[in-house]
Amino acid sequence: MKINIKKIFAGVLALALVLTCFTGCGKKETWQKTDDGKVVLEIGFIGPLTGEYANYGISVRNGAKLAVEEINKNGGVNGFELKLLEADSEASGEKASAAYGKLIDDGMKLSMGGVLSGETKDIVAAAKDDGILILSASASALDCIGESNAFRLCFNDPQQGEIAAQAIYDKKLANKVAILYDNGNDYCVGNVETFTRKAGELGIEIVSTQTFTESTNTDFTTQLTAIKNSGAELVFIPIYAADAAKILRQAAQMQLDIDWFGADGLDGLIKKCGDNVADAEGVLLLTPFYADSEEGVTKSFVDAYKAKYDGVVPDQFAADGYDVIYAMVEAIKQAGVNSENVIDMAISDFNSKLVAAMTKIEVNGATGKMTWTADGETFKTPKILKIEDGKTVVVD
Amino acid sequence: MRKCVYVGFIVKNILTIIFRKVTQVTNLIVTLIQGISLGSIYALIALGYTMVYGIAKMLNFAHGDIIMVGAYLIYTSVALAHCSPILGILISVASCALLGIVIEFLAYRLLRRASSLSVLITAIGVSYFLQNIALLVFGSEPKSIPVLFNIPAIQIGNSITITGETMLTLGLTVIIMTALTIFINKTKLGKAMRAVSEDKDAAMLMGINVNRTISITFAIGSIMAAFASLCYGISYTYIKPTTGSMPGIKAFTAAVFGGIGSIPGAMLGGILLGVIEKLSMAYISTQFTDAIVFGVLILVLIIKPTGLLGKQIREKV
Repeated sequence: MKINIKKIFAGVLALALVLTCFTGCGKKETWQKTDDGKVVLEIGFIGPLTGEYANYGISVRNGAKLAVEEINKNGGVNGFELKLLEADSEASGEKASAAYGKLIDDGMKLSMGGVLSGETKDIVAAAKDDGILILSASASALDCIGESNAFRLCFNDPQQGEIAAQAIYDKKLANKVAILYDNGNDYCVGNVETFTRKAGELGIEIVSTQTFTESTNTDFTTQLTAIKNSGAELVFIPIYAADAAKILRQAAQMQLDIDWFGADGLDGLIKKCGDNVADAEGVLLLTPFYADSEEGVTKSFVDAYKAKYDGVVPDQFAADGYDVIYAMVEAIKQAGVNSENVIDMAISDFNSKLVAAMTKIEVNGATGKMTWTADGETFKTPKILKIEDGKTVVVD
Repeated sequence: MRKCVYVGFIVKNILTIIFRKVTQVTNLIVTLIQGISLGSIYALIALGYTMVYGIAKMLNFAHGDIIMVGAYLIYTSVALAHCSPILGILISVASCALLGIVIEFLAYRLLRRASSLSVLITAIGVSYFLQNIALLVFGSEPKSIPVLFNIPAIQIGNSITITGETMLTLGLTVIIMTALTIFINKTKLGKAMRAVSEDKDAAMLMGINVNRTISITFAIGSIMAAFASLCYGISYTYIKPTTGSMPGIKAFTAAVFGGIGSIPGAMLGGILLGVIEKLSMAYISTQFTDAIVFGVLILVLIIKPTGLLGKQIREKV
């Protein structure tokens, strides 16, 4: 008797299991309609929402969320209502590709790729056969967007170094330049490589190259002494704001009188310097986004973001996430797809229209005016900002 | 005599390497000053390690984190509560001394007779406990210690600049070390400490309160850490919950380098370590600095296992 009960129990369980398999298979309409007749357009966000890199994921997600809300409030686009689907990647490529599959099951039509370079690479690989348009907000490593359907909104790592060298040359900022960077960080190394090459072409003399690593980022006096003795007029610092704050403090203690030039990693420098904001006085930085900017779209984005997220000042990641959604909207308009003609369209056809439209659009976003090339790279004109009286001003 | 030969040998070797590379003497002077300044911070921390080891025969790995606590206390009292710098330093020093006593009482006293491994693990536990408390209270974002004393830099010639912060660190270290040496050698408490470190049981028979002496040693070690945190804060400004770890490890290395248990050894070890670190950064490679520093340590321990000024203690049978 006992055995029989067990068998029945097992049989019921097996049946239940088989049935659950079928529940997901009910033929779902590709395009869902809302009550007021709009077509839902699901955009998939994947990024680290927990763990060590969560700040980046949360920023991008929050920026995108804000854009989606704004667009829907203004009546959507071409009869579409946007919907942001989110999945946590925990900064792992494996989890990111699994999340991609889950979002596809949930009806994702467009993808924001990943937030970090590594996970984006995995998502791009997983999305290859689906032909889904991927527009990553912040995956900057050179090789992470290899496929024809993948684009990025940020600069790739080496681009900035080149632009920085060109800017120093064009604005006649210095002839003798020193470099100080974290040589254990891909972002810094990529920038320095291209900067050095471009500087060589332009005839800018690099008189000293100084390095530090994550484990030696406390005491910079040796490097600063070497820079001082090298006769450099300007130091190129393609590093992050936390390290830059320490360096500027020690340079101030040494009374080192020299110009500083950084890239978008310096985003947030004024806040990092805290009471020592005087150290950052005169620092030049080249960045597509700066939160204190008074420019139209950037300012309205910053104000809206602060209003929505309890006064938190958005960083560049948030701005990138915000711009991704607007770029997708622009691509929809350019491709001429709308809630009428999309109903019989397969997802892959819809996406190939958008992919084709990507290279034709121009977006004026929070991170500036931008266009895309067929290999997925963006071009935008970064501004040169200067820190004056604890605020940033645009240098002409 | 042998000791002197070894020290001389090492110093000579270092000097030959340096002089081969030196192109500018001024550069060397600047580097040496920076090295001594960094080294005196190490020395102050190393004193805490070495005193506690000498008396309680344990490695207090939570010592580095006391520096972090001291730095946050200065930050809290001066930047947040707007106390005067002197008052802020006093608060930091007094609280660190108290913290040292409390840690010893709560975590280590019960383990006085336990194996040294258990005590070591406990110390690591205390270290993480302190770091996480700081993380909880202050968050992971670095905080900046305000400028406590405004001393202008001195300019000698064209290329030698000595910053006010360096002078302050050096001056403070000299005063504190002199005071400590006098305390250890001339006062009754100091004598008791030396007695306990030499032979705990005999000291007890002589009527010395061993528990109290150990508590006082922890307090003094933590006061040294508080002054180290002051120097650290003045020189490097930005602090975070893990601020104490790296200087702690380096200072422990310095204590072993100088001969753990020896007070002059900790001073010498700390300053030498700072100088070696700065010299290798300036003349060899900023990247291999730590490898070179620890390489020197290994070399010293191979040649002289008890450290530069350590005493050879014969096993009692």
